[in-house]
Amino acid sequence: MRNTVSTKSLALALAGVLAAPAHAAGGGELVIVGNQEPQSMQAQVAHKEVNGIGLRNVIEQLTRLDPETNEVLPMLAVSWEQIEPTVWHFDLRDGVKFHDGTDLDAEAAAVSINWLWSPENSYPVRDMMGPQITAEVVDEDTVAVITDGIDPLLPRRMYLGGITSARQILEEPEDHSVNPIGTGPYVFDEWKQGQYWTSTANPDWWGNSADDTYGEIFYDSVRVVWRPEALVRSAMVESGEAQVAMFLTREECDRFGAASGIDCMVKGSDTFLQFRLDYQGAHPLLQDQKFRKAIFTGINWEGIRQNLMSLSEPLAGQMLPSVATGFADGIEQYAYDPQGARALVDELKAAGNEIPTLEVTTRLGSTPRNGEMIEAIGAMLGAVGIPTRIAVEEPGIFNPRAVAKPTPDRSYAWLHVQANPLMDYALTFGAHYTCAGNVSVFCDPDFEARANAAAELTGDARHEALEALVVEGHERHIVAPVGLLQRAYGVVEGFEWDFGVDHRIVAVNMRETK
Amino acid sequence: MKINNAFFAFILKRLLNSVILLVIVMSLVFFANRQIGDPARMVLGNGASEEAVLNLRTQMGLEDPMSQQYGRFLYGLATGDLGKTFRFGLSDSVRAGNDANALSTLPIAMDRLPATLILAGATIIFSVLVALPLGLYAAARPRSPPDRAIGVLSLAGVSIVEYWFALVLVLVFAVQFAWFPTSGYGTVAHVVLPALALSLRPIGRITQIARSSLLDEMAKPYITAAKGRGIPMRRVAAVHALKNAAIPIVTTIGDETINVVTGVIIIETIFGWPGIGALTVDALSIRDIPLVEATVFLLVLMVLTINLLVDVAYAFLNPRLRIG
Repeated sequence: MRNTVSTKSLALALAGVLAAPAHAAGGGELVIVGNQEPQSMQAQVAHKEVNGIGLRNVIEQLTRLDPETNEVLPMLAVSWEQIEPTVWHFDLRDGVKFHDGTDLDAEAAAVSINWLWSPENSYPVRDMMGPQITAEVVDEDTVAVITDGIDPLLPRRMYLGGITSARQILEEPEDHSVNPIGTGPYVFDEWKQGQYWTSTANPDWWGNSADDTYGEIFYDSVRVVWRPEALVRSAMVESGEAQVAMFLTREECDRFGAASGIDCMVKGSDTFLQFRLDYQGAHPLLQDQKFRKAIFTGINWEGIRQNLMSLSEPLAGQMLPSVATGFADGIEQYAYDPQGARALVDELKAAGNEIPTLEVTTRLGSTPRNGEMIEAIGAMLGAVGIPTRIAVEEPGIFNPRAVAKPTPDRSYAWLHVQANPLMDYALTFGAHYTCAGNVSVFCDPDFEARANAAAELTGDARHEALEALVVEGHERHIVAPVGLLQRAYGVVEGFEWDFGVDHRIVAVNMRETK
Repeated sequence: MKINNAFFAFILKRLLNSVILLVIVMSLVFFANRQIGDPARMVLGNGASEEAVLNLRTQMGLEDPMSQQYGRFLYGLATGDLGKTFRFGLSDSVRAGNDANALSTLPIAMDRLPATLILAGATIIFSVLVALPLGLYAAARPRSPPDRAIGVLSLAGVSIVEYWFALVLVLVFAVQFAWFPTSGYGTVAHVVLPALALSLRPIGRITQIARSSLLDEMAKPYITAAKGRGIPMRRVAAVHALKNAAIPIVTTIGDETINVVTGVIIIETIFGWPGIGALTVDALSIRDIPLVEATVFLLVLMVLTINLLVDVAYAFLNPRLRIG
């Protein structure tokens, strides 16, 4: 009898092994602890990792970025071609299915693209859009993506927008917010609001058998939880409740240094901290180069970065690092010169100008210690004779003021983070240096025309045109860059994770070696 | 125990007061909510056009005249329909012209109520079980070393910041000793650290009040007389003095329960506890006005219920209230 049972058990176990899916898995559950709950599970949310932590495990895009080189690579599209200046054809990967069983074909891709970038939906992902994007079916496997103007960055922009089930968008749009249906290596299970969301390895994932896959399924399931307090996030890794704790502070990393079995991973991101100062339309003195120079050189930017920005890399007097298209080699961070700044302020006063009180704000929680940073800015400007009023504002207060255009009675500056996932100055110019730019307080039609022209160029010509504008922007004291944010993660010992400056939490790029 | 009409009149009056207070508080919340930023801008982001923002504001009902919005709000309050959340489902379903499917806020908030009740209940039960014996023990031995030690501990309880204490508990009991999970929800073990963090202040306050009330009572002539009749000291304290000292203790327990209910906001956020407090913070952060109103409604309702229960307890403890 005992032998019979053993034989049966063995047979069942063997059958289980043989029936197991082709993907590796077996890694158990991956628990990621983030800093905030997603507000929604819409595909558009995944354009920034922090908005929808882990959502890229479920939803994929037409293209992806190489984590090392930032080069655009195939994902759901295997190739693409610019057919006309404003028309791109994307050839879709064969045999890909959404998690609801429907096929990924050109029609599904077109529905998803049109939904995502639609002006009616007005999703925040449109912040990252150049000219308006629409999509049409060419044939079953080819979708045409059409732009209102020339957009050489389009294949890169396609990395931002997730492709989700057209059936859901057309038949159950209300479900789109809470039940993401993509093509990714993990299938969405449940979003227990206030607690966690979970997904399970997808045995039918195209990447299991494709030569150009971007990872390998190691974990059987992924659970994303969130804890606003960094210490609790790191404690979860220390206690073995999670493998990855996101966005830790330098202090947490230092604490990990003394602990055993925990590592801290730190890497530069695509997000920078900047000081934006009202320009055209604001108080007349803010349009005076002398006053702007006094402000920009009256603040010790590098001191603030080194001492108050918890984890950061320096920026060379411009908003993007050297890998960006348009990076200008010849410029440097605004040098701290309090005597020179004071002399400029005195000169302006002697000419009969009344120095306005500069309102310096930052958004609550946008980056660690930003409140201390604006205190330092206030003190430094005060020391050179520029009065300030500082405020850390709730998002609900900060955001509307941030997008409002300057008025003559306004002398407003913000210290805030901005991302440029495309690593191309055209995106930054579009948002910051144009009259209609969504967060722009700078408006010079001539500059804007040159920026628009540069955005349509490719290759070296694009780089040089954008570089010239970066240099000009620096000389005109449009925005003061402070530093490039680094992001830190607490991970269990022996954890391997391949990620780029976009810091995507993608489980197929993660595994534990211990 | 006799309960007469005066008692019911007393309770009815309290109930009516509670309803009036609820309407006043909720009206304040309604008007305050409309001054704290634009929810449409929060949903759509900084890049959205003014037209898109206006469109969404219209769909959210925020472009209607204030009197109309307020009337709708009062009607919703009376019928238990505080509107649809701006967060879950609205952005897609409303834009798709399908707002009937957007989720109602009161059920969302109600969904989080059990978690808060569990946490608050565990905290208060634990606090009373610890604080009452401590207070009575201290009162029985005034100015003795144990009394002084309890005094120091209770003072520490009311002085230590919960936020800091919560993080210390996580580091010591979850990371160092691995006795409890760091955070989260689902098992009895998950309740321990957040309840401990929340109970620090109630333990301190109830201990102090229990001690001082009992000491006051023990100094009264009828206690001396009881002692003179040869009744054992323990019985004098437990049966005679404690009953009369109970009113301030019950008042303090009620106050502390209210403090716990309103204090869960920070502790729930730290521990990832899916209760009303954490939901309120989330709703506020994205200016989800209907959801804020629903969560505050439940919080106010809890506070009023606790007050009412304390009033009922008074009536049972004080015969003059009960029988008029």
